Amino acid sequence: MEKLLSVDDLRIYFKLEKSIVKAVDGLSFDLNQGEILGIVGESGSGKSVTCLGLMDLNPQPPAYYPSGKIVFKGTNIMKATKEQLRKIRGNEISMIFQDPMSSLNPFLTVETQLCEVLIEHEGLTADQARKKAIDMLARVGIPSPDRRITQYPHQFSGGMRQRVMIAMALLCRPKLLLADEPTTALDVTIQAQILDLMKELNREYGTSIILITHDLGVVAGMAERSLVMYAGRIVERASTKDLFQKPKHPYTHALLKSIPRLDEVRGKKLDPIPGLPPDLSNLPGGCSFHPRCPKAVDKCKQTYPDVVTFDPTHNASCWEVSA
Amino acid sequence: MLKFILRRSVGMVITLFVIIIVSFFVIRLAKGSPFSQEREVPPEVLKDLEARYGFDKPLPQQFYNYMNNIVHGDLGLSTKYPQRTVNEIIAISLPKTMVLGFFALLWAVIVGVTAGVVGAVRQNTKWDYSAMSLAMVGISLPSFVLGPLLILFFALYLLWLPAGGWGSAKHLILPAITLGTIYAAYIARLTRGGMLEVIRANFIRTARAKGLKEQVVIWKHAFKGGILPVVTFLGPAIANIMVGSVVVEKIFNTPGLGPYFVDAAFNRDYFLIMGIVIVYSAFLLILNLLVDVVYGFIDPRIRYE
Amino acid sequence: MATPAQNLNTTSTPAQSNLLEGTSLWRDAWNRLKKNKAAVVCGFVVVFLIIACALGPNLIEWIFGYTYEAQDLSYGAKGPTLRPFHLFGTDFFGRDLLTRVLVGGRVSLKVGLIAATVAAVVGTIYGAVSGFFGGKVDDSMMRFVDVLYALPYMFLVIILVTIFEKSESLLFVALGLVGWLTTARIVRGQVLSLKEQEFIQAARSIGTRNINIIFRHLIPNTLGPVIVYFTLTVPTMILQEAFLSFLGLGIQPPKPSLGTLMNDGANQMLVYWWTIVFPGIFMSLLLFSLNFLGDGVRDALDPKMRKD
Repeated sequence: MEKLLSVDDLRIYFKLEKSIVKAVDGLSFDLNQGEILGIVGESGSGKSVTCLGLMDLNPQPPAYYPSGKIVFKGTNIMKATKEQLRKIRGNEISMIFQDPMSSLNPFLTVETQLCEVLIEHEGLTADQARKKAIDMLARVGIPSPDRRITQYPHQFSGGMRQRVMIAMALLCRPKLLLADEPTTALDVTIQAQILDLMKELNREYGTSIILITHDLGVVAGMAERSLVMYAGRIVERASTKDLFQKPKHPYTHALLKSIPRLDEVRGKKLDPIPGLPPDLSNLPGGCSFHPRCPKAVDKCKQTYPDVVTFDPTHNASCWEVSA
Repeated sequence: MLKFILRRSVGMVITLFVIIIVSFFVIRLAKGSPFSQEREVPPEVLKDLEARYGFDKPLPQQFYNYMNNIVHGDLGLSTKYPQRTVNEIIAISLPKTMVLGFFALLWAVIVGVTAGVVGAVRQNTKWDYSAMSLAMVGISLPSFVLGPLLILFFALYLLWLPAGGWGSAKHLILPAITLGTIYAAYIARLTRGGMLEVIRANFIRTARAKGLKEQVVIWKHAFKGGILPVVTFLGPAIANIMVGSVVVEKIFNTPGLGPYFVDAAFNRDYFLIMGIVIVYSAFLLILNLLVDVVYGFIDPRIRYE
Repeated sequence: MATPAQNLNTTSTPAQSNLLEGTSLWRDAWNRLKKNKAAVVCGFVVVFLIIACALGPNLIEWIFGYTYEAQDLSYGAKGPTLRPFHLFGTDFFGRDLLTRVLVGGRVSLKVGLIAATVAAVVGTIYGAVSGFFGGKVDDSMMRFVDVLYALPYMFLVIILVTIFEKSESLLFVALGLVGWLTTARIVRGQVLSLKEQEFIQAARSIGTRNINIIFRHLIPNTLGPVIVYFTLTVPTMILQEAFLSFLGLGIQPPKPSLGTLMNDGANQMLVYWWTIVFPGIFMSLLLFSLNFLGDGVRDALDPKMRKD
């Protein structure tokens, strides 16, 4: 399979008044064409910053990039000019966000917000753009799209707004869709519909998707491969199936135990992960997870663990697991 | 929408009525009469005068007559300028005040919004700092300081512009700047604050993620939301500009309505004071309603019920 | 998900922590204020101007024998000179302009402080009562404020001060009555959210009387915003007083205020430029530093309201 995106040693720090926040600290991964990749972690683990970083959308300052390379179809995003970036954004890489209400402009009609993408990137006339936008709204399952396109975002329900966001993201048939917690703000039944829609569109258009979530349940049915992030680093990577069946990293274990599962005995208690995500401006030495880790030993407090490879698609960074 | 305007209009009439009652009786509360400050007037003449203006009747009767006249569009007679009716005085001078006020507001909005947007878009750069420092200076320059300084410099030293009077566009420049600058400063600060808030909103991130040009992001996506605080401010601003014109017209000898008001208050020219208060109030109430309507046009989430 | 930067920002600002943590809130605000260089400089300027206005005229009278009303018609209006000591020059009647400006500043500061205090007290009590009782009481009280907002109240003030005997106390009241509306709105908003909090519920449950709840529990907790608005009201009130005095409706001659000085200056400026320039610069400097200081206090007490 052809590689679409490769990220190498990406670091994204935020310089604040008194401290430096290491939101993303040495991230590397590849993404193939047409693939759905899951990135899982608690809030504050650096998922969203990574996602914005892939489009160079983190506000600079305070954000800066001490190192790293993001190569998308042969272009290094981090060295691209503003104009190059603009041509990629919304056209080849697009993004949908967690909260579809605040992510759509409340002052402009859906039509304006959809058509401007086409006019900008494909040079369509207003009429052509409108036609295409209506088709896309219909495709993402919005009933009577020719009427609804004239409305404002606040006239749509949460699920419908997220459909609008998806339609907007896919208008130019991007190669890559970044979905940052696309279903978190939605009702459970709507969540499933939106995920199904994304999967369909992935198959239909061959769009690669990076699906970012704190909810392991979301990646389960969607992504072939998943990364688990903790405190700005990848602690485990595996096929999603392996991640559920043979989790290696204690953090992955903990994540799995903290979600309800249908196949478990009813009444079994969920185990929340003890403690809080670490302060990214003041990370503990050694493995960042050690203060919360049930298996932590002295070594974990001193040195960041090496990567342990279990099979070509499965590895984890932990002193306490062996191949 | 129509229902909203209608309902608000009813409220406006009530407010106006309250204003009339309050000012009518406050003015009458005080001792003395419009003629007490003049030179000694023979009692018969005084009686004549009072009869002419109806001051010899009991107060409720006077109030009834006055209201009756207002409903018929008659604001009464001036005691200070016996040859002219209040309607005439207002008809001649109010348009000049309004023209001056309009250009002051125009200056305030253009300068203020531009400075505010520049400050927000280039936040924490020297552009931002200079725009905001200038705004602070503007806020601290009341019209009766700025006006004379402008006259000294542009009229007396450079001889570019007339120091006062009325007649051509040139006569308007200094008074309009004097009157508008402090509001330009407020508007600049409000615009900057509003824009900064909106620029941080998620939908601006979305707009950037769509690959739109930066100008489009700012002017099409951020501007409408960022300008809302300014729209809210416009109502009070217009009110204050109208009040401020009293001073500016005095400094620049503009033949507007302002000087009449102070003059009338000094001379207890009852009907002229009342007339000016009523006309100003009505004007302000209408403008406030207009501002609310404009607000609704900008923000589609507002619904008038 | 919030970016980590935002997370850290909010956790490191104590303003969002409990309102009841009185002492640390004020100390933090003080520390923040000290770090704001512009505000500190302006604070010093304000202190300097206050001291100059308070002591300056007496000092000048003691050393040079000028008072704000002592005329010297033979000397007349002359520009600034060091000897004789007329730093700001003299006016048409030969009165020392520096003395007059300082006395005028004294009057303006007094009016500003008293009127702003009147506005803050009236507004706070009105807003607290309205917010505390809520419901229909609140509705009608706030409707009244709305109506007053729509009034061209400066006109009413002008009518008041012209119709009645001119006195300084009337001026304070008239100006204070103009300024309390915004304070009332701010306090009401605060009280509406405060009164749902546990400590108020607790006070109620043990049968504390309403008046005690309002004055002991609610009002002290709205002090931050009230102080912020108070500091910003002082320059506004100074401005309003000068506005009225400029029109001859405020402070009466021969007593100077910054407004009457500006009026005198405006009448004489074609010949004697210094009679307008020095009072004008003094007034602007006073307003500028008060405004900047007020901004600094606002940023310090309420980091969330900060403009950046």
